[in-house]
Amino acid sequence: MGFFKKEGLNVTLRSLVGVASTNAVLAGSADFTFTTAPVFLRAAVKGQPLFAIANLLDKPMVEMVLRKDSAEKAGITPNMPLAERAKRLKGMTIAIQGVGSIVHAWERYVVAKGGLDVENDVRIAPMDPPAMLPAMETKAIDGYTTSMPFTTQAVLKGDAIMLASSVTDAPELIPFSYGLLYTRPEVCQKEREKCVRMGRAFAAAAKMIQENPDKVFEEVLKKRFEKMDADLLKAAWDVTQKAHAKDIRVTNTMLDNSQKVSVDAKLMPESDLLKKYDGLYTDEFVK
Amino acid sequence: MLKRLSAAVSTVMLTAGFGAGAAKSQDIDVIMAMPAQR
Repeated sequence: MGFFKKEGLNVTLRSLVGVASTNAVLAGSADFTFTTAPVFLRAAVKGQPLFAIANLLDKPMVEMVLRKDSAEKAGITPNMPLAERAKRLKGMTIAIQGVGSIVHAWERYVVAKGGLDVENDVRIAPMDPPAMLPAMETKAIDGYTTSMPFTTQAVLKGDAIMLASSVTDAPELIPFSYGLLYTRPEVCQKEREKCVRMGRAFAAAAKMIQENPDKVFEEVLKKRFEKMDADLLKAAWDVTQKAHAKDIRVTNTMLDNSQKVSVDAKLMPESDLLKKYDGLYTDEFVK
Repeated sequence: MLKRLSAAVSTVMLTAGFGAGAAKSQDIDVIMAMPAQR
């Protein structure tokens, strides 16, 4: 919607799978990325600190859907507690996208909630989100974990049930850092204007999403997902729009909850938990 | 005096966007890596 242009930014987008986008920033082949905080924080734990300047989404939006016949066979019903639903995933195959990404973390978080062995009790099948629904329809997989609108698509089509949605099944994770804008620390020191302008552009986008979500839907999302049914896309947007933060400053609490996912999903040992986040973020570019 | 002038010039330059990057009137190139999920 021209927010970059208005700030005099020529932004080139590079599409990379999962943690590859964080690696690109660390390696210096990209200036910024926009991901969830668990990967950002695990990089800091490993001695590779990055620097966040804004957080656009403060609720987790990742979901796991399960084929209806797989759910019935395992005796899963929607009204069961999450731990019971998760326990019955044993032996199933769940598609994810990037290994180590928030999508993978959510799959493991849910499996762990069921008291299962995250490494051995559920198989993962990495693939791109548009391939997930066809793979489920041919019964190559039992279910998949990803973000809307791909999960919404399966449920509304009647092919799947919602096994675990972070929107409703994980109040313990709110607030969460699900849309963190970050770079390398030296970028904001040596090329400060880049961070100033990026902060302003993202703040303007966040404001537009809060004040005029219908315009965003019509002018951005419908074009971006032109092959997807408009009603389905609208249903996904109605939920996603509410996950967008009114205040886009990063906070310690959202980073605490983001670390909790990594630990509970057994992607990071509890002993590695960061106790403080000094030097990892600022709010000066989005005040 | 020189020190004060220097500080004033620096302030003017920073305000104009010269200090740590390009001028406001100049475009800045940014490469952004996006997770390919969506």
